Amino acid sequence: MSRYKQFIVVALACEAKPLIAHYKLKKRTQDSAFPCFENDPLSLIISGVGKVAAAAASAYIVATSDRPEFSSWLNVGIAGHQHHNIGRAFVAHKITDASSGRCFYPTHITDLPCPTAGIVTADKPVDDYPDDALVDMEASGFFETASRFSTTELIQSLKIVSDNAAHPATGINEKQVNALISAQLETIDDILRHQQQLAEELCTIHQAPAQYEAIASQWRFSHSEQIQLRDILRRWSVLNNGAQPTREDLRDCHKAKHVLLWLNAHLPDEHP
Amino acid sequence: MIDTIYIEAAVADHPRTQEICARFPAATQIPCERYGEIFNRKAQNFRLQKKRPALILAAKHQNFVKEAPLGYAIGGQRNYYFSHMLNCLYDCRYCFLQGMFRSAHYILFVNYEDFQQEILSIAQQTPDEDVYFYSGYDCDSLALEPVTHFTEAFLPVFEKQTNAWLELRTKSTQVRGLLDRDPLQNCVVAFSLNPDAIARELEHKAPNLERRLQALEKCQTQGWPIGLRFDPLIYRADYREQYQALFDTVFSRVDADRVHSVSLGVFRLPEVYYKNTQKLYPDDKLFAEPLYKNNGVISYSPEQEAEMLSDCEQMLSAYLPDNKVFPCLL
Repeated sequence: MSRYKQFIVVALACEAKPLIAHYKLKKRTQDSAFPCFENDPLSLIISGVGKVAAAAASAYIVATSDRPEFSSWLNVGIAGHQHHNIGRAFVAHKITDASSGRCFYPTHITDLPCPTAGIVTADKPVDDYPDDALVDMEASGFFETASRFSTTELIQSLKIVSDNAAHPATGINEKQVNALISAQLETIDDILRHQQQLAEELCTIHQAPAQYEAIASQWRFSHSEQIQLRDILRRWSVLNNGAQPTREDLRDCHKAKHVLLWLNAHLPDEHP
Repeated sequence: MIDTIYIEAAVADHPRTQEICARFPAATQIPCERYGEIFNRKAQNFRLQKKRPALILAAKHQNFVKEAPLGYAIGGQRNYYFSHMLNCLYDCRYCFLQGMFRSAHYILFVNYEDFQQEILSIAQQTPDEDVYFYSGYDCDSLALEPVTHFTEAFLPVFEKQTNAWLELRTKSTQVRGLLDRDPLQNCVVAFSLNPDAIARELEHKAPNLERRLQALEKCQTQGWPIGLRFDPLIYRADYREQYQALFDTVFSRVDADRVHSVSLGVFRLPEVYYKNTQKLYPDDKLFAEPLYKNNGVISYSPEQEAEMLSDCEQMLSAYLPDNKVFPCLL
């Protein structure tokens, strides 16, 4: 099991279908609130249409996962734009909730496989597109909720243009949506790969020291003592070029606090 | 260098905004209402953002100039600082900015004129007394000079108000603007220096010691008052040898008689900033080393701190009179 999860939130089953096939996701059988699919570390949820549904689904997928230390989030879906060609993909750089006026700003710290754009999240379908932004119905709910569970550098929203002033949304069918998403699988792969690298980087930085599990399970540490243990083992490792105390070192420790005392006493007291 | 520029609506038409945007034609421009929407929000990771910080162009509305904390001085009684910019191009591991701000994006307040007006107003209150203004408190004064044209805009103000002193504090080599004009005797170009091994270990993305010394030499040759800032001093078992070698090198390159001031201070961070930074860099030696809390500040033990300051002051006394050396007592 990975220490991180990659959550994908889509509104429609026809948006999910090519992703489920491409990433070989299996349906989770225990879910009734939302259809969920997974193939560790990926989990996909179909939220239904609208920002409230997207927010609820985002909360659901993380609450029903194995409480990962780190998670990356990708919202994939279709959107309208006044003049962009159908099929073009954009990553959101600003998400504006149309009804509240609140704005969210996804941060991009890696190269992106496609251009960025502003997104306006509307409460209902619109046929008068704003000048300079894509229009969708989920991004603000998704982003606001996901940012409660992860750092914003790991949260992205990818929108594929499905309708524009010349080709309104009323004419779109499921088959077309499926095709639009399928055509951007490489783009999605690329974003997920970058997100995975960042999540793995965070996992490595915050990785528990090598001996932590073994020591924590051998003695009974309170919660605060566990935090102290983790901290002191990390300092041990950093200051001793990766060296960790051995079972033999701790043989005379009968209680958790004896372990902490011994570790503290044997930390290098001289700076490098 | 800059891929993304956030622009506050209020400064979208400001000439400085236009000029900076023109310098980065490929950058994505994203409008925002107030910079805090981006800079202050929760759920940001300073360490990750440092990989690719964006530039935020904004307006500052109040508190343009603040009183410097007690103990922050280079000879004057009246000391102020101002921050036309927040955050820094460099990534020094000991820097308090990474513990103070949630975001690593650079903020540039483009309404320089408001800062200048307040600087003049403060300086004019005591025309017969020198007033010191520090510009490198929340940023490096010169590192982004080609973008900000900070000195070009501010030096004329200090040229007219001669009781107002400006300290430019930097690790950068961006001194061309200074070399292209006549020096001001009330502007101290202060270079932050550490032994090369420590700089390489901790002062990521900053020019190495040799390049800083070259910039420093050029400024002094041109006639600019020079400041030397050995702050923070970093403890190493052989710190005496390392800092002695540094001082020997520096004073073999600069004319000590024409050095305006030297300041010293050991590595220290307010406890909150220390904890925030340690969370970002739990794998860094600087935060694994034994440190102590004293009056809400995390630093070396009081004895060690006193010893380091005393040792370094003594080493410096071979080159400079005591009245040019200012231990930072924060």
